[in-house]
Amino acid sequence: MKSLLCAAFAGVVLAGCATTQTTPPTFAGCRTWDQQAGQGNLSAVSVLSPELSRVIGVQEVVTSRTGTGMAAVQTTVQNCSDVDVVLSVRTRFTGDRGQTEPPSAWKTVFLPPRGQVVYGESAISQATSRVAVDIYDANRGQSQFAPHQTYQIPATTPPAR
Amino acid sequence: MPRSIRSAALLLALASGLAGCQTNPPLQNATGVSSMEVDSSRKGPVSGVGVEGQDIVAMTDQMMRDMLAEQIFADTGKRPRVIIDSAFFVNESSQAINRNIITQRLMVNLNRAARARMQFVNRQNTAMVEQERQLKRTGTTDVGTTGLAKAQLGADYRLSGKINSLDSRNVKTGMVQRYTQISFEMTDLETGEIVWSGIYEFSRAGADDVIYR
Repeated sequence: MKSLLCAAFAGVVLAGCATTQTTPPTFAGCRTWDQQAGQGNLSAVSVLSPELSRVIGVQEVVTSRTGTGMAAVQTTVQNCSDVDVVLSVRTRFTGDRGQTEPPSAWKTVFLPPRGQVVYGESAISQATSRVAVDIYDANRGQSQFAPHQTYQIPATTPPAR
Repeated sequence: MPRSIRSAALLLALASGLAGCQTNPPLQNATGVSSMEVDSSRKGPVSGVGVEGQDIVAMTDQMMRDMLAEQIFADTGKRPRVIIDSAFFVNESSQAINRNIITQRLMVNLNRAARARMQFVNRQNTAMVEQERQLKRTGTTDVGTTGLAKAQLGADYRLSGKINSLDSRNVKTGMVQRYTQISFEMTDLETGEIVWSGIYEFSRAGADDVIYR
């Protein structure tokens, strides 16, 4: 009887220790976007989903010119988790006088577990000299602001980028 | 007047009076969803396994950028003439789809982005152009302000393509998976050479009751 009670007590204690989170755990050595905050060479990239910034990391951003002289960008993204991650990625194009052309359409990018993928896009206007890449969660539906709705306030504010 | 008829008439008058006062309750649709604005470049609240609005936007954008990165459409001053319409764009997939929605968006986007680099020939409305040419030449109308041309434009390249799909279904769960492949080709109208090709493909799975029409 005594041993049964002990086992039950241990079970309760262990159950209390198990924690859950809304994002999958990441493997050691993989720097997620949250850990890359403020890295100068990645200033052209924005990860728009706070959950995603705890799961993926950006390796590099390379800008170049295509054969027809248009600005182009290549961004390498890494999945730091052991689950598949689906991203929506687009590029915004600017020049000396602001926006030079509309942003590209959202492109779906599949990241295998612990895998890397290179997203690339090219401009269609000669006036484009700078590009910026937006990364978003492809499986997130459109949730819109509407009056008279209530919203949950997060316990901790995500770091501003 | 007999008493029974008088009371019946009174009842009738009362009923008509009440009917006149009755107002309809405000229309309520508690279980429905009011219409909302949806970003056509992203997945919306009604989505299934087939070709959807965000696919049209993404594929035409991707094809346009891909085409404009090709050397034959570089800004060399030659301005090759192209025909982009759905005449040779075939749908062999399991989904009914208006092919014009793809070719029209591609044509409009290319026209806006690359009018300086290529000329777009309207082959779908050849009869419309010919009718006006005849009116000018027979003197029914004047010649307009831009002058007469010897003939309508001949084209150098024409877009063609195919929409294909492969469906699979789990009869136990009702889950449906579809692979969709949309291919584009630009063919030289003198030699038949395919000078550019592009592909847009995706797979989706779901068990939702979404109908495309």
